[in-house]
Amino acid sequence: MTKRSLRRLAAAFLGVALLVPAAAVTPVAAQEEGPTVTGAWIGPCCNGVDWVTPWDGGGDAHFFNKIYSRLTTYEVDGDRYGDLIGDLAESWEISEDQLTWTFKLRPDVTWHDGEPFTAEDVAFSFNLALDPDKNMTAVYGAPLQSVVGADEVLAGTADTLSGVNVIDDHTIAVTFKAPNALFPDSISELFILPEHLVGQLDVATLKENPYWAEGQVGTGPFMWHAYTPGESVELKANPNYFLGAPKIGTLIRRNFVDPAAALLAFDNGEIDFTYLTADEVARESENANATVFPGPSGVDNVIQCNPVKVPACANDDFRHALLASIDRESIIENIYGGAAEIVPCLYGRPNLQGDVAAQEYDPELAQELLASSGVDVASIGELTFDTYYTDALSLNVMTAIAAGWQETLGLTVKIEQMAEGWVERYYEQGESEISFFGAANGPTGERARNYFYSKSAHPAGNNGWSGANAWHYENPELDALLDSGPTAFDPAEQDAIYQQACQIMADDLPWLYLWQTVRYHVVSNSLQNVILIPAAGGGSYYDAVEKWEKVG
Amino acid sequence: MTTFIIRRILISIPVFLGITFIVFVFIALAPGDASSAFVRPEFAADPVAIAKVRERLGLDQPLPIRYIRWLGAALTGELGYRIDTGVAIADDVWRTLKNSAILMGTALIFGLLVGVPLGVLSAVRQYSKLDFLLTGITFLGISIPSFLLGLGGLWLLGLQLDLIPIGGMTTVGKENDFFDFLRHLALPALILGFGYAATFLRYTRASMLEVINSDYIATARAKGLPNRIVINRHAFRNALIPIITILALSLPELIGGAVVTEQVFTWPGMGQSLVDGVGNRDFYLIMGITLVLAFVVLLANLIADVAYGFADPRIRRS
Repeated sequence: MTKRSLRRLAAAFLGVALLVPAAAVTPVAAQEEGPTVTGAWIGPCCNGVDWVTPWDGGGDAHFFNKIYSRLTTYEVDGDRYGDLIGDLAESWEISEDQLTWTFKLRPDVTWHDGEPFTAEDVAFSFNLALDPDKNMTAVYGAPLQSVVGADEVLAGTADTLSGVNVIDDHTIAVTFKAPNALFPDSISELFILPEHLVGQLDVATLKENPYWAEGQVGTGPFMWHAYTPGESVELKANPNYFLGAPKIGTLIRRNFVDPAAALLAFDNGEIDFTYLTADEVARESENANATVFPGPSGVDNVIQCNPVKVPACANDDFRHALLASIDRESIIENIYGGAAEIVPCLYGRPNLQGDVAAQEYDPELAQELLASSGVDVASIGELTFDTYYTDALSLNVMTAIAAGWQETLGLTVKIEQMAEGWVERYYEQGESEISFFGAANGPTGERARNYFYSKSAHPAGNNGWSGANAWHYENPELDALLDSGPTAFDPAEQDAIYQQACQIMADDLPWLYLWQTVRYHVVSNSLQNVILIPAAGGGSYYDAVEKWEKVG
Repeated sequence: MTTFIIRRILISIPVFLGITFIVFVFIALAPGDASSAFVRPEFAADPVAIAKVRERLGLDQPLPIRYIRWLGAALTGELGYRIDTGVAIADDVWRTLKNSAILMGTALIFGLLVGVPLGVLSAVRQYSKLDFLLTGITFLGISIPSFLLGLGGLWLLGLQLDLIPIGGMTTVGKENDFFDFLRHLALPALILGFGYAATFLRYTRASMLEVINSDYIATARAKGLPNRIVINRHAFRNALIPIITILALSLPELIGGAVVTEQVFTWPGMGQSLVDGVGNRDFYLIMGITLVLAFVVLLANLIADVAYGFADPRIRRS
């Protein structure tokens, strides 16, 4: 090939590549059954399009809710979670002895392949969620652990939960070892899978089965249509959806690794909604063609000072001094741009917080508490302040906290952002000195059991400290409240119990509860009737996607 | 030459195994392991569940046993599954390898076609305005981070001028549309190609300057040979050795991908896959990619050695 030929070839390539008309990338033409909507479900925590299994925890639960349904979910009240409502379940009631929940299922539901949905599918999903042999996580199956027979299933001595009984095609009863008023709430995140399809798959290799990528089947408003690895998932409207056929014909999930590129694509009209980082909220709020949707993340940021490594942390006054010397309002306003809400305890939902007041920033009080604690800060030396958050925003937040401690208490810390190994250091080795991390704060008050119930202490549970020398937080009063919470079937009574628990957590401060962050999506105004809570934690809610419309 | 090639291939086998072992050890020694892909700190880590994951993945076994097991499986073609998505490693590596090769190959060809001729021109016209201009562009090409060029390019060509789509390799529903694919390819390939061109220009210019100041070039000129012949036949061929070296060193990048550019453009290549693997501590995926990369690095070195011989007969004879 001559040089001239090479030159021509190169010129031809560049010309073609750059000058093909823009029309060539116009989004796919509207389908007969309705327009196409494209979005990006990305965020700091979330899984990309290649996580094609619905039971893996992550912020893409509000993508998989387009394909699957749950027994129950929450309606949305403004930008908050509202009341619990039925999804696949029409109604549910508790037995007289308060041990058995009976769910009446919708009779009009079919799977995307036309097979009828029945109670057997629910029983199958419950059993699979607990099956210890499956090579797939099922973080939303945890509420099933208190069902009769769960211990045997988890131990591998039984295949099915003896406490789950299919009464008829549309009725299922679930019996518990102890009253569990919260079950309808806590099961609201588990997607129900089709027994006639998933039941045919090998449990031990469930995750790598091509079923998920090639054509998984649900009962939700959209049906799996096409998957391009690393790029996109395309869904088509389910004309038989039990709440009505969607007005959108095609729903496309595009993959973006870089949120900035996703926002450029949004601004260019290539996608109709995307995740929005807090620093872009102000800019997009001025976009006349878009609406910013805020929503609670469902995750608190907290600090834990490890008494095993730092004996001063066992001192109540010292921990309160640490919290009182953090100017949370300033950090939220100046670093988060207002995108966080102070929490007084673990709980993020107002009905669980009640009137419990959060500790205010008070340097003088902090110094008084330090003095009364008798702790000699100089003898502590420099502490390692570690985290698994590796982003710049978290570094700024930790730097501001560290500055407050230094200025008010004279405490010096060295910040360490760990891309890897934090979980091992914190949970398994118990070697962290003082840590900044996130903790799920709901959906119910039962969440505190994960972290603060005495019998849940590591290694049997997870209250945050571990190893042979672990210091386990224990408060019998909190234990009693967490035990009585699930037995309260009256919502007001239940809230009152967890509000008391919140007060104890705020008084004891086993963790320094800081704030619940707010997360954002930005949605094109051409998309209407949108209900969206950008919860990266993957909260369950009814987004009425079948009513979403694209205009213009 | 045949003996030389066979000898090099035989030497490459233990080197190849050594690379896989060292990478395996490094992955094992790094903090954290693949079980972290199944642990969400926000939901607290259940140690029983973590132990079960470790047992399932064989992470509870001693390091030598794990390596031997992996190597034995790899020799039979069984590279395991991606821990995050459950996709077979062989399939995933093949898919991302092709995507990276397309992107990087286009960029490399662009870099060669632009960088080498301009390098020669720059050397021939040393200290001219053109030389200063090209040298300045070279500095820009080498200095500007690719993510900045990428985002800037997307903003200008995608958002402002609407010439190219933003991110991805194809438009959904147009997977078989060649022109659509070219429009997705153009900007990331140009940005990477710009970096390559700058590198080739710089090395070509330096190498050519060294050669054209040699005695034999002066002799050729003294013999009255036209300047075009002197430059093309005598100087350029002798200046090729460092260019071949750079080219050979670039070959593994063809399939290794460009991590940052692939991330910015959401190009589903091997660079992005490797980032996923490292993030998830997915030793199956990292080792699968390592296998391919190690093979290509050794192959590229072999090709470079052979190419040296063709470019410079003195090397072939020695």
